[in-house]
Amino acid sequence: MITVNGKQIEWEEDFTVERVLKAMNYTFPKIVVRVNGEVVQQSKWSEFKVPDGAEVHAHHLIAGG
Amino acid sequence: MSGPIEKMRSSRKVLAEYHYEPAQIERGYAGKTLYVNLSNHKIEAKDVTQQMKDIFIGGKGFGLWYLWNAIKPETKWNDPENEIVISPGPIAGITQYPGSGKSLVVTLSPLTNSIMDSNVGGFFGPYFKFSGWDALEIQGKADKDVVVFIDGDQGKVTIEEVDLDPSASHLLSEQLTELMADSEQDKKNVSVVSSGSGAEHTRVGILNFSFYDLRRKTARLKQAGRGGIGTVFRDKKLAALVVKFSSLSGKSNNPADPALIAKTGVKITREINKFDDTQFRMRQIGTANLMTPMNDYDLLPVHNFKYGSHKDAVGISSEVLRSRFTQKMPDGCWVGCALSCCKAVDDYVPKTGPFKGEKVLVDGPEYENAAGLGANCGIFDADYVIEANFYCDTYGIDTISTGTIIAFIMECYEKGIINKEITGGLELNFGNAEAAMELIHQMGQGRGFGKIAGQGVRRLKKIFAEEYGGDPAFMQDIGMENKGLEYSQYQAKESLAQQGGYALTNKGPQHDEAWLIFMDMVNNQLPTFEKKAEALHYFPMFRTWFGLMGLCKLPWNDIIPESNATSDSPEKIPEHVQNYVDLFNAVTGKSIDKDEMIRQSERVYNFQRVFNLRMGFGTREHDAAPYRALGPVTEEEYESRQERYDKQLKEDVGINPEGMSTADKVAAMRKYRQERYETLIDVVYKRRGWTENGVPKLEHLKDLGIDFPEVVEVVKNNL
Amino acid sequence: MKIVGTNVKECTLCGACETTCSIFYFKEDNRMKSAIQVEELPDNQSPAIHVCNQCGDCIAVCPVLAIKKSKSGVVIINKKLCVGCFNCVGVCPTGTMFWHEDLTEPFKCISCARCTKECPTEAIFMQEV
Repeated sequence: MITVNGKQIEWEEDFTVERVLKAMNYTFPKIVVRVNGEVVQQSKWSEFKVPDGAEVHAHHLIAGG
Repeated sequence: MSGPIEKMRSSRKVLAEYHYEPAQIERGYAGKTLYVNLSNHKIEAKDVTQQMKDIFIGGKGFGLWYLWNAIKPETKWNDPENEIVISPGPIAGITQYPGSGKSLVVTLSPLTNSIMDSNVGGFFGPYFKFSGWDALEIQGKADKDVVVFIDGDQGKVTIEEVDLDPSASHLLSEQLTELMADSEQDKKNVSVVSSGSGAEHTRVGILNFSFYDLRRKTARLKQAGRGGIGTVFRDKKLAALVVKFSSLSGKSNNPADPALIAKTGVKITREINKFDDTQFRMRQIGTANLMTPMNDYDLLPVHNFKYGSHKDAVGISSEVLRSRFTQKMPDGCWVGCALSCCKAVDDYVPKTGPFKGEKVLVDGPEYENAAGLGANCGIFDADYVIEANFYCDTYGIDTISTGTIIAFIMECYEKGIINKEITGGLELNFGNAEAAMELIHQMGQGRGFGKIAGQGVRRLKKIFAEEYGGDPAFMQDIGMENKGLEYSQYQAKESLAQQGGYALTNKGPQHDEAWLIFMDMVNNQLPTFEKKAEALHYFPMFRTWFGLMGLCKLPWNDIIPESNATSDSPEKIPEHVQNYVDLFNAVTGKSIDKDEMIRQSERVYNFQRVFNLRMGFGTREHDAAPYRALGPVTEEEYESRQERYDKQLKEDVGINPEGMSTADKVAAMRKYRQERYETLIDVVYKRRGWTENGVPKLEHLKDLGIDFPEVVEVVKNNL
Repeated sequence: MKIVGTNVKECTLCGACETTCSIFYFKEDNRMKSAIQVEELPDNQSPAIHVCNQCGDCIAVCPVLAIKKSKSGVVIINKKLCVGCFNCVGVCPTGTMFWHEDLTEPFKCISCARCTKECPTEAIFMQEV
């Protein structure tokens, strides 16, 4: 299991940051991702592997209304 | 065009005239306010006191202060005694920083019967200030339609009768601009405040504040949209306000530190140029950039706030709307705004109504319009949204309230509470664009079912119950209004923080106090009641500040600086908060910090809460929310999110949903959510320094320095 | 149209161009008030010479149509119309729409050629484009 923004989801072997965001349906263009406290640059999302048990924060930078 | 303008020119009849020496603007303030009485034609100047500047600052603060002194608790919105107060604020009118031209308008609302405030862009506020006035009070009522002209170049205020057509705001704005201007270039020195025929026939009338677009050669419109202020305007038989001011410069505010203003402005303008295209694309799409994300995250209001997304939403997606906006135009609603979010559809040809077949410019659609007029009503057609936006603007009715009203009517229609006979033949099912457009024309023109629709959701619930036997409890659940004002277009259902953000407001459920949905629901930054309460203290106070100053909130967080990436509290956008502290100090010569910023707002916010009390509202019962705003009312709503709701019943409520009927699950969820909402109210009131009944405590008022005798008296009567 | 062309290898950082421009337009020998500004770069690099190339990107962002191309194609600010919003400064791709805290309006090179006449090394010259 990993937690993403406090929600628990099943961990998968091929979980990169990109795949985690996809699993969460996080399509917003401006997200700051931290895996276990470390910021992962957007350019690295497709390669960076998210380990089992990781705590992921996907901080959406949305202004809203 | 020359026909109507010649008629205006030759028919001008001055009823009252007032000459003055325009005040020298000192550090953001003219030091004088203008009072105009339409009943007895009194025009006079009042002094801005030091106390006003210290406690009320400007903008909404001045509006509330003047209105408090003008009316009594018994005053009704359509009494001559009711005032419309327009005030920009000390920072308004600087040209160097984006979003610096706003005004706040304050009055008693025909929807809520209490205090309403609404912010608006356009050029009127700054020009009015530089003409020598920090606020405009309009009291009384004229016998026949009048126009108030404020000529800041000549130092002259007149109340005049003018032969004009007040029904279509976009034409009236254009005509009055041309009347006052000496040349095409001079038109940019004129701004018109007007409404339309819809403000005479509904309770949801708006004020349009114009700014002249030199490239398009036409007047553009921004709206003071919420709460029926336009209805008050037309009830007073005001057709328009017109201001002219020709000598705008970068130092018109006579600021204490012009260099700091320029430096800060250039910094953020460069930031916008560098980052906007890869952030929210405000310059390309404006607020409509939210359409796609809201739908993707199940937060778009669909079918009267029942659902959060729709398979056809792509029809009014951000990209579709982008393709309708003319690109690469400097679309700031005040000079200097590089965020340029005021997008327009050029040369749109309406298919219906009084302007059918003619090319018009449509100011919008903004997110609220596409979401409210479109998605919430189940209509996903871009042309419809554009045309509905156009007609609401020119009829002078609030697109947000209109969207929520029509959505409510559609749900009642589909439930059989009302029928074709009642609607005069309009088949108001969700998705019926033709019927919805005809209803907008009826609202705007005061015909048929439109006359009833224009009463607003709160009164519609009563009418539908009393005259058509509608179930009052059901309609109470689905009628999305709080305090009498319709909800704006965000799904608060799954965000407890946003439920508070909407309903624990002073004026009603407008998102200008707090927009916490992503922080709460998606980023999960507010997991505890304490964190939610803290957010429901900080953000309403922070956002109130813009309305004291004459600023637009968009450049605060619709563009994100590089420094945010390493910030501890990125949702606050700390660098931009500091920009605003710097701007205030640079204009006024004072030295506030971020804490004092919040205190400035707390004074005005709590004063407004007490003002609501004075008018007979302002207590906990008025902060109640319709259940549709808190959770699933119907079984179909529950089933549309069954997995999420079943999980919540299991994990948060401690009830095993297996084997339960949907009806029982709805009931269990409801009990949980309603209790949760009450708990939220308790923690928020505590954080805000209020009693359990939502009354500001005397110690808190004393601490803020607003324990005036009349304020204390109101509070004591409510303790 | 003529713009100020540059040959940075010839520049000796003498500052004559900046002095000429700022004195002529602002009656002050102040390189920060010059519409041509020469920047010393480290590690033996040639200086960078910042001067408007009349690209015209600023024209589209001016809210009051104060910026126009003259008959000869030079981009000129009409100071009477300018409201000092600095959107042009913010958008300028070459950073050559300048501003100074003493001045309410921005300023830029208008290809008057005076600086090129004072340059001792032909590091700057008028160039037909």
